[in-house]
Amino acid sequence: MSTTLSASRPPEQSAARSLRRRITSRYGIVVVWIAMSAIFAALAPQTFLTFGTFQTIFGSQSTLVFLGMAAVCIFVVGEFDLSIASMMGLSATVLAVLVVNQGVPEWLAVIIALVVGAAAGAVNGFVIVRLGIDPIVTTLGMSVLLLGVAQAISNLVAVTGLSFGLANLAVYNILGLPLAFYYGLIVAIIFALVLAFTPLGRHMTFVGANREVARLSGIPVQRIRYGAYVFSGLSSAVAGVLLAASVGGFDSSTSGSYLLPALAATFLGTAVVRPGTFNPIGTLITIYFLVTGIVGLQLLGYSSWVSNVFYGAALIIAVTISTIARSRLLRR
Amino acid sequence: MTISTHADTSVDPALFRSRLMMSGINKTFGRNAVLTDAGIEVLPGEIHGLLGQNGSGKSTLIKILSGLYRPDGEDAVIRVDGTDVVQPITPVGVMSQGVTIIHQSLGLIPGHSVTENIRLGTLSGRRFGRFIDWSYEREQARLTLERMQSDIDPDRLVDLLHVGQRATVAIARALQVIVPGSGCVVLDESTQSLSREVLPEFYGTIRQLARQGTSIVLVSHRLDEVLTLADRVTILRDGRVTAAGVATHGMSEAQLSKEILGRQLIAFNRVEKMAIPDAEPFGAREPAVRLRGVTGEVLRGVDIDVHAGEVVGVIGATEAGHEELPYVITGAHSSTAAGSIEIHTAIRDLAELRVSQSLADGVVLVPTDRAGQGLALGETAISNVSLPRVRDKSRHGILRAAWQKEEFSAACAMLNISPPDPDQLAASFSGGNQQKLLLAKWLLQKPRFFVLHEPTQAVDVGARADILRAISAIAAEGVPVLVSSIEAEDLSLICDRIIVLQDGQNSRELTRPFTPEQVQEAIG
Repeated sequence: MSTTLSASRPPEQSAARSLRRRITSRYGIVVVWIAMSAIFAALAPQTFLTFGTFQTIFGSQSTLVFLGMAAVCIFVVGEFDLSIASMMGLSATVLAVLVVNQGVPEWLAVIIALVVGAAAGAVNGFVIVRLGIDPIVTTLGMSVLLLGVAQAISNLVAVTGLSFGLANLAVYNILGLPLAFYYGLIVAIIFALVLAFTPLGRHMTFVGANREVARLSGIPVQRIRYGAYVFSGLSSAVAGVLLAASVGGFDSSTSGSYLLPALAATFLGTAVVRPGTFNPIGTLITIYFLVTGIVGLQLLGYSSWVSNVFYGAALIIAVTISTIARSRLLRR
Repeated sequence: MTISTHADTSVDPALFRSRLMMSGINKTFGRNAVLTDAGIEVLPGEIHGLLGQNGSGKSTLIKILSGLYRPDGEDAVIRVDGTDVVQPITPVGVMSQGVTIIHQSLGLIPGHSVTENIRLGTLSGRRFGRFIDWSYEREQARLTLERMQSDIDPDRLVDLLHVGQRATVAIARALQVIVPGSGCVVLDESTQSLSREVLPEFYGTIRQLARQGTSIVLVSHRLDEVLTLADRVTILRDGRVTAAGVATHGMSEAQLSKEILGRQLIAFNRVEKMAIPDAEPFGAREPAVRLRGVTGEVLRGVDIDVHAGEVVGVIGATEAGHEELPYVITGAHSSTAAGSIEIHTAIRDLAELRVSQSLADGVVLVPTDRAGQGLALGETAISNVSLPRVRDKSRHGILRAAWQKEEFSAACAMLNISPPDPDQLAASFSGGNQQKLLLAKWLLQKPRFFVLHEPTQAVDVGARADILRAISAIAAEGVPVLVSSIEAEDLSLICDRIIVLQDGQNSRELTRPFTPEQVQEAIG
């Protein structure tokens, strides 16, 4: 085999090329993000280049961030969850109904809302992991079912009237941005560290990559899959609590509109930081990248349909990019 | 490219015009030159072996022929019966010129009949716009099978056929486009899925075809097979042709290995065994592992003792239970099992044994299904190798890189893994090197009982020697080893004792010394 080594690889040239490829393949979206911001800034300098716009972009997306973390966790272990938005909606509704209609203390209502979310995730986990039912079918069913439950307990009306004290949990301003932004940032960073630098993260990755390999390596595959569904429920519940708290209530019928943006960002996130891999930081970056595009276009005068077009297109482009990135990595 | 014509080739000189001719083929992936001025020339009616180690470029050459890859540069010539193949090559294009390729997986569709599988791809083209005329299709399928002198019922589901018949069906489909006495069939490692006892039938089919004038290109790891079948061979080494159309007449396996490896085949003997301090026979000592009443789907109460430092082989014909044994005794089997394993005074009930418990006892399994059970191919080599130990070796819950890198370089040194690049995806390693990664993953676990299933499956001669040596070496350290395999030769090289199973029960036991032939005979 001696001639294989000498026949190939001129070292320096390939090092420079691989560095360039590394940057373009890992941070391409960040480059596009900067370019896009520059275009908006040029086209609408008075409106886009303001602190208000900055706050709109970075202050309003924590619900999506927590939903995105739920989705990342599920996708990393090779599962699927279409019920994240409904679990979020249920938790938000439970919080609002308990406090406003039932007079339950807010701290207790928050805890109950989180438990409800985690329990919904546990039901998903039980049906999928224990009973072995297809995750897409199960979570699609759960998604509609939980939406109905939320509508039932809220009597199909928007429930509002949560206190400003509770709102401060989410919107208290630090350095111009609400607390919820920092929650999302911290959770994404911790999640990324867990995935990259702990045995649990490595186990999760392999459960997602090849369940049978993981099982034969002594990894508790079922427990990890189950745990991912519970985490997904809990993270969605946090998203719901933050959303209800920050706007003072919740309309149970609106939860469905959060699913696609969260999934779009998660898939597009696979094109950032670790190409071809679901990762929390990539998802975080993508969420803010997408909202920058939407806010920018709206400032240029396009109405609210742009967000649907943008998120829908992003989902398709995302999957295309990550598929290509993956095959390139394989051919290296 | 020169062709060495030997007087003893059975080809009629009048027909001396190549059926398939590829020359000047270059292909580079990234920084690796996979093929350099490679080629092959196949004469009408001959069986031509294409040989080379894993990663030598033979699959790439076949993929270029099938149009999956495009050759670099303008020098590439690909001709069938003297006519240039239309560029760019498409599978349908080459097929219309009479070249068909049968891949390793055979590509049959389960749940469908023999007729449907044979006529697939030929169905719609001829009869579009109308309903399929099944009686016609069945007749066509029957005729094709008849041509191969096979009596497979065209209405049977392919699922119900045994593997040898399945291969026949796959070839029958390939023959659809071939006019008798012309054309070229490429068998890309197609015999891998076949068990030993059906090989004669398969070989018969191949010879029959060649006699009728169809050319056969045989891409195979099995040197004995190539020597049995092929008239001439082309050998690739590191992407270059080192032997172009050399006649196999009078060649030995050792000569062939030498050509493939480019060096003398390492005389494999178990000198390592000398390292064992006490030379008393294993039978006189207490066994380190006792398997009692091992029962599974096929197994029916098998008892096996394995001593420290002993390599025990388990072999059998198909459905004898040796395929199931490694998984049942390590808790990896999903269905019902019974019996017990006793290792270092701990007795485990196989009915309740889980992989995690088994690993905790130091019982380690190397499964045969590399892509399905052994390695996550989409992850990096280093993370695959270190996977079973990430929890135990992470202090304070932090997964550090240092020990993983140490493990990986130890693995590369131990097994000659190439390239020694920890961050490459497992999928980008050649088959033999993937197998080495899998072996390293479990050798590094420091097993107290090492269980392997077909450790040399689908690897080339070089990798095979490395793998066998590593297994011998761990036994020499005093670890009891159990190898389940149908490779009589491998077992005869490394085993101290070979247990032959039949119908799920112990049938015979052979003790060193034995020859591959003796082992093979014991099965039948």
